[in-house]
This record gives sequence, C-alpha cells and structure tokens, in this order.
Amino acid sequence: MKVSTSWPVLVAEDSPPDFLLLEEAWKRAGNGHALVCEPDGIALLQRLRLPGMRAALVLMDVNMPRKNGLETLAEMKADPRLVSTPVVIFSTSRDDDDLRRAYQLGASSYVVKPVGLPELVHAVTLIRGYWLGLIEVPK
Amino acid sequence: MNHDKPLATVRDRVEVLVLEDNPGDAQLLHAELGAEALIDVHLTVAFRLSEGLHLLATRQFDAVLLDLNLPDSRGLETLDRLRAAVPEVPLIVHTGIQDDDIALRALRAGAHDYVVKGPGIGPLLVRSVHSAIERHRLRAELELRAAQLEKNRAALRRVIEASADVIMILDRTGAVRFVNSGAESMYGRSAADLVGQAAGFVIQPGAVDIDIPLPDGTVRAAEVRAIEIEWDDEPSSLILLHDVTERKRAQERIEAQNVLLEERVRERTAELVAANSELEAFAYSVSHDLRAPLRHIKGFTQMLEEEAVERHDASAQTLISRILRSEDRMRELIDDLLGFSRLGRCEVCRELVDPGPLVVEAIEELAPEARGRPVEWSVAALPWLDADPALLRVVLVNLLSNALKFTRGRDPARIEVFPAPGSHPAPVIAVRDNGAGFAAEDAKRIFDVFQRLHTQAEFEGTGVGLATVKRIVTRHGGRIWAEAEPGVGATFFFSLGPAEA
Repeated sequence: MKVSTSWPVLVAEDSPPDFLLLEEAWKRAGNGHALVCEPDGIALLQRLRLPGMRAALVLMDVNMPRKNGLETLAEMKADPRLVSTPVVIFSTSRDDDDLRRAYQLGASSYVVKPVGLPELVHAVTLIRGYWLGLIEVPK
Repeated sequence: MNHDKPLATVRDRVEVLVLEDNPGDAQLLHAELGAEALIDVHLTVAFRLSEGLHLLATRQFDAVLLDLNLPDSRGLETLDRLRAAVPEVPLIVHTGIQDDDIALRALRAGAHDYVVKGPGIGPLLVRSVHSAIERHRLRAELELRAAQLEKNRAALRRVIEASADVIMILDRTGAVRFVNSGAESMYGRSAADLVGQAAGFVIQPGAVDIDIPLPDGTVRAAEVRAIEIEWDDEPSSLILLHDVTERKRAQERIEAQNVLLEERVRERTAELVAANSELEAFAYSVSHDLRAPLRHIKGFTQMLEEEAVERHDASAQTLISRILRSEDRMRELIDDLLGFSRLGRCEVCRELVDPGPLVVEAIEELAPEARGRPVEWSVAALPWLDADPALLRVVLVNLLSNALKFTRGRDPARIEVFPAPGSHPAPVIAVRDNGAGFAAEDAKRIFDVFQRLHTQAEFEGTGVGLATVKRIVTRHGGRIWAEAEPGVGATFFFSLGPAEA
C-alpha cells in the first residue's frame, strides 16, 4: 500500500534549531504528514512502539544522547513491527565508515544534512516525493 | 770511592810508593825497575811507615811496595795499617822474609802480591805492579758497573713500586713471590703478609678480564696480562693487573642511566603521541561541533533575509548578506581545519605511484578556477613515488591550486611541474610558478596552519592548503621547502621519505 498522509513522520533529533529548520523546510515542501520530534533513540523507540502508532518515515540523526541513531536503527531492524518503516539517516558526517555502517545496519538511505535553507527545502522535497509518495509499504 | 777519578793504566807514568828502611834495597829497586822499559815507574821512597802514610794522605799513588819491617812498624801490622789507611791502593809486599806462612797471611790480609827480595827481581816486581794496577782498575770498574746496576735496579724498583697497577710474581703453585705496593693496596695487606700466600685467582691462558676475590669478601675486576718469566731460577708468572672496578662501575652506572633515559624518552614520546592524538581528536570534534550552530545560523539568517526582502528593507538585506558571507567564510575555515585534522588521524597507505596522471587529474579539477585565464601548464616526466595515492593527490592539488591562485593577473601564468635534481633518499618534485612569490624570510612560515601572507582581498584562502601539504609530506617522512622572489614567482619542492620498514 501507499504511505498514508495520516501517518506521522518521526524525527530523532537532539538539536532544537536543527528541528526548527527542518520543520520550516518541511512546511515549505508540501502538506500532510505531521512532523514529530524525539530528542534521542530511546524516546523515539518508545513512541514507535505506542499502540496504534504507524510512522510513515523516520528521519534519524546519528549523534544523539542516551541512544544514538545507529543503535536505534539496529534495534528497529531487529523489531518485526518496525522493520518495514523506512529510516533515512540525516547526519552531518560524510565519512565513508559512517555511511557503510548505516547501510549495513539497514538504513533506507543516507542524507547529509544540507547547509542553507533552500538546500534543505530541496532535500526535504525529494525525500517526501520518494519515501512518502512513490514507495509501497506492507499493510 | 771516587769513581770519577781516572784510573791509572800501564801506559801512564806509574807512581809507586816504596816503603823501605834499607837505602841499599831502595837503590836496588830504582835500578831494577828503571831498567824495565815496559813501564814508566816513578818511585818515591819513604823510610818509615808514618812518612809513607803521610805521603799517601797527600799524594796519589798507584801502588805501594812495602817492606814489612820498618823502624816504626813490624811484620803484618805494617800491612794492616796501610790497608786501613788506603784500602783502595794495591799493596805489594817486598820483603826479605821468606816464610810461606807469613806470605799466605799477607795475601789474606789484602796484599796483592808477596815478593821476596833478591837479585834479578825487577821483571817480577814490574809484572806484580802491573797486574796490581790492572786488577785495581778492573775492580774499580766492576764496582762502578755494580753501582750502576744497583742504581738501575733501584730505579726499576721505584717504577714498579710507583705503578698504581698491580704487579706480582707468582710461582707455579700460584703462590705469591713478589708484590708491589699496588698489590698491597688492592689486597689491603703488606708485601710481607702476601708473599708465600696463594694469590686467590687463576689466570686462564688468553684471559684479559678477570675477577679477583679479596680477603675481605669483595671482588675487584681487573684487566690482566701474564708473562712467563724466571724468578729465582724458577719458572714463574709475572702478573700485571689493571684494576678496572671503578671504571666498570662507572660504565654500569652510565649504562643504567642510558636505559633510564631511553625509558624516559619512550615514556615522553608515548605521552606526546597521546597528547597529540588527543589534540587531533579535540580539533576534529571542535570543528565538527562548530558546524552545527553555523548551519543553524545560516538557515535562520536566510529566513530573516526572506522577510527583509518581503519588507523591502534594503539596509537589513545588506546586513544579512554580510552575516551570510561571514558565515560562509567561517564554515570554509572549519571545513579546512577539519580536513587538516583528519590528515593527522588517517592512515598512510603507501604504494608505488606514477604522479603524472595525478597531476593531470589535479589540473582538470582546477579547470574551473583557471577558466578565462591564460595559463600555460607544463608537466615534465616525473619519477614514480612511494606514496599514499589519495594523499599525494591532495598534495598536488594544493600545490597547483596555490600556484594558480598566486599567478592571477599574469599573462600568461606559467605553472611547471618537474623533477628537481637530487634524488636521495627519494626523488624531489618541484612546482614552479611565475606568480606573486614571497620574501625569503617567509619561506618557513608559509607552511604553518592559518598562516597567510596576503589579505583576503588580494588572494582568498584559509591558510590551510600548504599546511595540509606539509602535514602529508611529513607523514610520509619527507620534507617540503620553497624558494621564491617577490613579484617573480615561487618554486615548491617536496620529497617523500623512504617507506618505513
């Protein structure tokens, strides 16, 4: 099935300004899909496991307190209820090792946080178009 | 005895004192000895012993011919008294007493000869005087030699005694036969105590270093030489020992200190390496963490800019664009610093690399910067280098980019890459440009991080490029240097060190 616009997009991001900018870009990129922010991996997993919760997409920062993005990703991919939720790693690092590890752990894609609002809007537009508009997910 | 006095020989005139109370006999002697052409004898006659002793005390005589019976002395007493008075002058008894017993006693008492008076005695007397003088001379010489020998012996003994080294003579059983004072002080015992005792060590043939156990329980280290000699007609060993205990101890102390020093150097090096890598990690995380707020500043400032545009607020727009430019500049600095700090952490994987294609790639990469400018590139055939290809590429891009930047305004800009003379221990590559150059005193500074010789308006940049190049070259164990002349151009030389074992 197609991704429902009623499903929220969960963001794991410990930096409020980063989230504010992302939120701004998100608004500019289109309608639908509430954006929900959690400051770390533990909080994110808790929300994902709430009864009746179905996330359209997870945008995951890597460096976070308590449980970082890659640990959280690994845990999601080990959880049958969360395994098909797409996870886009949203990181500042362009390091090959970081990229490799992310894909090894099952990241759906890896995006380097763009610098500049227009660039961010562009990235978010592409992400929305693909992960929220094009792909199919199991019911 | 005065050895310096020249001794009479038979060729000289011989002075003979004749002690004779019979004038006839004296006369006869004159006649007899005077007739002998063999020897030039000068006789002085004294009639009394006292007179003779007086003459002997005042004059030099080579021999005395004496009659035993004189007015003031009789028999062997005459001989004894003369002997006592002039022990060094040969005495020949010339007497009328024909008595073997007396003759024997006279000879025993030190007379050189005993001649009985009689006619035709001349030749015999001459021979006797002759042999007396000769014997006397020989004895004197012998005594002289003996004295010289004794002097030499004493000198040798002084040398042996004065030697700080141990000199000892051991017999075949290893017992001490002789020691010098060096041995006494080493053993802490007198020579009298040591002689006859066992030396306490055995010298193996060819040994050069031995340990000597001492009675007090300590052990001395010595360099040794053993020489086979005869001592008192017995085969013995002359042992020469040089005590090196203190030297050895000093050496051991130095060695121990060296070990300690090396240990410390290792510790300090490890500390430095640790501190350095901490610093690298710190620089990395700082520059990494600095980028996040910058990204925020940029995003929010852009939102602000949009609002200013909507409000048609030109002055706000100007200010905002300044903020954005500063923000860009800061990120550039941080990115360069981040890259620079990564260089300190990344591994250097060396292989044989042909730098030619890397130079071509670098020139292609720089094409956008060179667009619209007259640039003459010249790349000579380059030797293969033992380098990390990715890092070598960074070196070339930075050096060429540098050359390109500082030739701005030249028509044409000429940038050459060529192998420089001198290939030990590794080939030298040079990059020459005809750009702005720099003063000789700046040649070292230009490789320091964030060091810039020009304003941002003249030539843009962060001052990290050459520092990056230097760091890569250094991490290859190589070196980089530059020659330049202001307004004429600059040449950069680099040589990568040999691969580590």
